[in-house]
Formats: sequence, structure tokens, C-alpha cells
Amino acid sequence: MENILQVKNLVKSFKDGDHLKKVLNEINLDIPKGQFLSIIGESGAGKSTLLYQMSLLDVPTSGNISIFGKSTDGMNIKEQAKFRLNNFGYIFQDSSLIKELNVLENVKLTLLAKGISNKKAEEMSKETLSKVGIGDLINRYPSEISGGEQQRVAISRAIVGKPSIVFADEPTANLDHVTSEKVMVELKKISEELKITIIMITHELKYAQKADRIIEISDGNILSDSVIKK
Amino acid sequence: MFNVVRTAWFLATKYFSKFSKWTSALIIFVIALTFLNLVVVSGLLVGLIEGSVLGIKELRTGEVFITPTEQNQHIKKYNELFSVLDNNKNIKGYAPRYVSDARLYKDYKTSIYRRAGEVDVDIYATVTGIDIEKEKDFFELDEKIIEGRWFVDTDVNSVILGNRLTASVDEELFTDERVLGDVKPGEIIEIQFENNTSAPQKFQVIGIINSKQPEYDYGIIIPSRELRGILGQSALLGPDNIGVRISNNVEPAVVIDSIKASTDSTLINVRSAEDSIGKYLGNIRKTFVLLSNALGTISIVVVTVMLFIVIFISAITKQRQIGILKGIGISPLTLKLSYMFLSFMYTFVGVVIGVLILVFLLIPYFDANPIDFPFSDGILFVTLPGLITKIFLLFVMSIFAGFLPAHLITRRNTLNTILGR
Repeated sequence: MENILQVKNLVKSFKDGDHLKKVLNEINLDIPKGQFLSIIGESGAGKSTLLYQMSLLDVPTSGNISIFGKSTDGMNIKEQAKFRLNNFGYIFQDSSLIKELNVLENVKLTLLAKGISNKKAEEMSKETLSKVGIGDLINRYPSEISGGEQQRVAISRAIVGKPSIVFADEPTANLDHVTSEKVMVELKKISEELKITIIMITHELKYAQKADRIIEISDGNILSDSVIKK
Repeated sequence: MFNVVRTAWFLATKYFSKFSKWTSALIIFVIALTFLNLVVVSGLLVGLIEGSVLGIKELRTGEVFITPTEQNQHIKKYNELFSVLDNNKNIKGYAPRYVSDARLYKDYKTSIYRRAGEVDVDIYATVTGIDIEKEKDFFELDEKIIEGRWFVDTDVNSVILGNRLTASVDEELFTDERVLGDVKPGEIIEIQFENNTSAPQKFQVIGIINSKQPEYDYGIIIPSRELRGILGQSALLGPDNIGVRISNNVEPAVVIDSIKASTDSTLINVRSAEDSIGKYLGNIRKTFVLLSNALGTISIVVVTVMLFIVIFISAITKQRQIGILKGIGISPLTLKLSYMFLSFMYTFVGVVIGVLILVFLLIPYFDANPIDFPFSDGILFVTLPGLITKIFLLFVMSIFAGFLPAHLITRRNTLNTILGR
């Protein structure tokens, strides 16, 4: 299958006092289009750092990331923002919604930024919100809905523009078991129905196992890389 | 770019509508106050001078003012000039004045205003002989009578006294101005006219005038027919000045040119009211404008700093949100513009409220209750170009105050702001 994202010799170091501390150590990774990939590992293993590099939220110390076969090296901030807007969707750990916007407005925001008309953006947003089962909450504000509902709004925002890749950074971290299950069901459904590549960080194996493939990171190295047999 | 502006505007309207109502009210209140401070302080300062200019024009010079040339003491060939003025269809009316000096006496034997070593109380003042009907019809001088009444045709040996020649004891103690004392209508004063060697004549004061024109307030007014009767031949030399009122929508220059074309320009100066007022008031006006600009600049700086702080605090508290917005692909420019628009919206509402207060409250109030200054009725002087300039200046500063803090926040590393580090 065609690779949508390739990571080559990726190194990320942080300054720790007088010396550099390597958080990611020569990571190499190919992610095929449409794959649901889970990255697991203990706290401090480097899984979130890897996600930030792949999602262009951070710049690697060395190595290369290619998306659609094209290197992302040398992209300036403006180009990165535009690339993220047009190709990526993000689901952050906890509430990442804009509190001044209601549910519908939170979802349609990125569509407006892409240049889609307000009417069309609202149609698309409503459709997406209905798909994730919260079509009746469109006029509510983030403070008026539960954490699980907020995460489903975040999922809607991530997928409404039909991105190529959705990055999910521990999307169930602050949710109870039942709500976490619902969120995972939604992510799985997106992966299967919309064929969107999903790269998810989690430290819970049971949720990681919902994916097609699991990568385990430890001390900045890939410890294991396994495909889940369905 | 359109998408950037549209998204920024969308975000700004949401921020604006969801911002703390009390904070918003406070910001808008301060902006409205700043706007009023900018307009009203300068408007009143300049209004003092404009009120004075307006007073001179309305009560003395009219739109066109005719005086003798330097070589002449009086306006010569005045009958020909009157004929020219009467036949000019752009002239509504005119009023010639005859000016003389005089010495005034009042109750000198018992006056408490007598100074040490003085034999009697007398003062020198200007006497202005006027056409009582024309002054009333075209300059409404009769409306400036504060005590007593205006002249009637049958008045004989009657004068109207300038209010600056009357004063209570207390006022007199604090001034070097010579006054006749607390003269009331009905009282008799004695006047000895210039070049008149006969004994002082008795006149009844029928009214006191407060026109804020020194020529009237520091002098006495007498019907010109009576003055000419007293002065005889010298008054026949001609009037000392003529105030001319012209029709609405006619430029003074048109009337001036036509008068000059029909008369001997070596005998008279024909000038607009503005030109005849001279440089003195113009210089005061410039000084006041400078002063009001300095005060206005301070106000603008204060409101800019306030807006900057409000937007900066708002942006700081929304740092993570800004990071997330950047993370999901909203460009930094969009975010900067959104805060700029937010600042613009506050300024817009503040200015609208300020304009409403100005137009519906302050201007009508100061029109109805001019500030009583010794030399003018202080008005609130506001011109449309001046108003637009100040509004424009406020908007420019508000845009700067909104853009800069957003710029400082959005330039931070996206990931760091998302993670709050």
C-alpha cells in the first residue's frame, strides 16, 4: 500500500542543562494511507514528541519527514500552517475547543479558514456532527456539554474537512471508561468508513488494540511494531 | 487573504459577544470618555475663540465690514456708499456707527468709588452712535440688554451703558478698571463729549448692555441721530464703521468685490469678518488648538495603553487556545487580525456612544447654555473634518493596540503554547 507518511532517521533532542538529551533516536517509520496506527509507551518514552514532529507542530533536530512522498524540510511557519489546515486533523488530549464558539462554530471554523462558504461549511459541520452522534448539540457552548461530547466535537472538527491524516494525542486521557469507549468507536468508524489515516497516541493497550497497527516506543526508540490481525 | 479576513472577523465577533460584559462595558465607557475628551476639550477651548469670533461677526462686523482707510478718520462719501449698499441685492442690511470719545461722570460728590486724592469720579469711554432700528433688525443688539430696555424712536437724552462701566463695590476693589459705580437703569449720568467745550450734559441710562464686545461693554451707546445733533459738523464727516449682513449662501468675497467695484477703494477698506478680526484672535485660536491637541494626544495614548493591556491580558489568558488554533491550521495573521478587529469593535461602539452623547446631549446643551466668559459666549466648536480626523486617529491607535499584543503572543512556539510551557 502507498505510504502517506515516512519518517527517516528522526532525531529530537532537548537541551538539559549543559548537555543535549535525545528524546527520539533515529526513528524510521512508514505509515500507509488509511492505516489506523497506535503509538504506545510509558510516560516520557517519546511518543508525544514523535507525534508532534510528524504533525508538523514541532521541528525535528535532524532526520526527515515526508508526507505524500514530499519532504517537509524547509517549510516556513506560514506554509506549515496552511499544510496542517488542508491535510491534517487534530484531536488533543483535553478540551481543545474554543469556548467563545458553540459546537457548530467550533467545527466549521477550519472550513471557513479554507475558504468554504458559510452555508456549505454549516451543512458539512452539521452532517459531521450528526455522524458522530451529537447533531442535537450544535448550539451548545463547550462549557455546556460533557467531556466526552467535547471530544466528539473535537473529532468532528478534525474530520470535517476530510483530511488525509488525523493526529490524536491521547484522546481518551481525561475521559471515563464508557465515554472513552464511545470515542474509540468513533475513531474506528472514521478509519473504516472514511479511510482517513489515524495516528493515535495512547498509553492504554486496550484502546491501542482498536487500531490496525501498534508501535511501542521506549526511550526514544521503536521497541516493537506489530500489525493487529482482525 | 479574503479567507484570512473572514475567519478573523468571525473570531473577533465571537470574542466580542462572549467577552465579560462588565469588562466590555468598562472598555467601551473609557473609549467613549476618551473620544469626548478629545472632542469636547478641544471643542470648548477653540469654542471660546470661535464664540468670540462669532460674537464679533453677529454683533459688529456682519459678514462684511467697512472701515475708513488709514488716511481717513471717517468713511467719506458715505451717502454714495449707502446707495451702493442699498442697491446690492446680496445685502440684507447694514448698520453705520459713529464713534466718539467722552468723559462720564456720576454722582461724584458722594461716590464711594472715589479714589484717594481724587476730586471726583470720572471715566473716559467710547460713545457709539447707532441706528437703533438697523442694529436691532440686522445685529439683534437689543437682545443683549441685561437690564432696562432698548431704545425707542421717542427717546431723548437716553443712553445704554456698557456693563463693564458698572460694578458693585466688591468687584471694583479687585480691578483697575475705572467704573461709574453700580448704575441702574433710570439713573442719570453726565457726559462731556470729545471736542465739545460746553458743560457736561445729563443723560438717563435706560439700559445696561452685555454684548461681550468691548466697543459696547466698555462704552455707551446712543442713537446716532442724537449723537450727530450733539457733535454737529464733526459727525457729518461720516461713520467710523459699517457692519454689513449679506444673504445666505452668498460668499462675502462676491459682495466685497461688488462693493469695491462700485466705490472709491482709496477711501474705504472692505473686508470679510474673518479678515477684519485680525491676527490676534487667530493666534489665540492656534494656541488653543495646539493646547487641545496636546491634551488629546495624552488621551489617545492612555486609551491605546488601556486597549493594549486589555487585549494583551485577553490573549495571554487564551494562550493555549491560540496555540490550538495555530495547531489546527489557523494562520497567525488570522489570529492577529481577529484581535485587531476586536479592538476595532470596542473602539467603534465607544465612538458611536461618544458621538451620540455629543450630538444629542452636549452640543444641544452648550448651544442652549453657552459658557459665560468675559470676552465671549463659549460654544462647543465641532467641525465634521475635525471630528472625522479624531475618530480616524482613535481607530488607527485601536488597531495598533489590538494587533501588537496578538503579534507578541502568536509569535510564540505553537507547541509550547498548546502545552502551556
